[in-house]
Amino acid sequence: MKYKSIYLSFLLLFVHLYLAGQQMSVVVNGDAGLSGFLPSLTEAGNDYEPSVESESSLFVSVLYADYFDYVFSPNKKWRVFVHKSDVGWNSDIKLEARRTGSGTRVSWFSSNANIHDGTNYREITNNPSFFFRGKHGISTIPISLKFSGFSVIMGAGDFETTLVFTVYDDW
Amino acid sequence: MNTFSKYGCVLVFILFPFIVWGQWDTGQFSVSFSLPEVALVDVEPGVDNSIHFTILPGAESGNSLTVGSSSNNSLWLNYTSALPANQHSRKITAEVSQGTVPSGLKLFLEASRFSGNGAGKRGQPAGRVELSNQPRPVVTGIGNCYTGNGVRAGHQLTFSVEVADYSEIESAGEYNFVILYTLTDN
Repeated sequence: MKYKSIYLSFLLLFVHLYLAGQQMSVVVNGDAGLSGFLPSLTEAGNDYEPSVESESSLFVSVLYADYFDYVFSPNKKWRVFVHKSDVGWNSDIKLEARRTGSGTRVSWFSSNANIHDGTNYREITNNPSFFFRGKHGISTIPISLKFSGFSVIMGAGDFETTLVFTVYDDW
Repeated sequence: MNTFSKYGCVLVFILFPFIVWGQWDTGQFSVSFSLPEVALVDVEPGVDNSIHFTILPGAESGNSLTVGSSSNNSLWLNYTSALPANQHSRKITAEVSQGTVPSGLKLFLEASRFSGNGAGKRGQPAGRVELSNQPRPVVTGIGNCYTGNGVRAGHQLTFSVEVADYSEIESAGEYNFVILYTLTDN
């Protein structure tokens, strides 16, 4: 009986934390036409210009799954990690990302929504790495991408990778 | 029952931190990046790429004509090439695109071996080639590469003129012709 009550207590705690952990979701959208970013090559004999930078056409939103959480649990901290999963990629092509803005606060119920880090370019590899962190739901956080390391000696071709943004509860 | 409960508690303790820190959600975005097919060729220095040959009479009766400055190697061939995956190489051809080489004379062009910086699979010279109104390869086997830009980058071009047939040499005059270079698929 003694063990049973302890067991039940931990189960209750576990269920509470699990539910709390389901509050955040990350949504990525924007202009998928990044293939339009062609490297610049101006004169015969030269290689491409060293890098191509995108405009802020990619937006990340960190949201609460349940709108009531904006009212009753508005100050949840979170961290966003990013990595890429290559579909057809050349390992010499370096992909970097940075946050170019602070996004938009989702709800009026939290006046102290904030976002930190990620404003300098950092390389995206196939292993998740910390990108930025914040508090409360924030939508349309603008992200810029930069490509570098490409060369004409790679030949002509299309390269594709999938960016994966992961939001974690920051306990 | 006691043993089951004990191990149950231990299991909860073990899982607890993973459950707490394992709360997450992901969003994905597909990113594509294209490198285009490139075929660029240029002759440097580019400011004035004209070259001049002068055919002079012999100094004495009975002597042959002399070609003043019979060769010229002031020009350099630069190129950048990016091939699609299913294509292996390219070549650069040269031809007389405007005007004609005067009768009795032959105009030759020879590209040097590659020199300079650049990178990739640079081409190989095709040797000394007589130029005519038909395109003739001067550099072959060009893959994905760039030669560097400007003089002393790429292939140095050596032009030379020879008197081939005295009987066809016509009266004095000035002849201009244009050499066209084309970086083309094999």
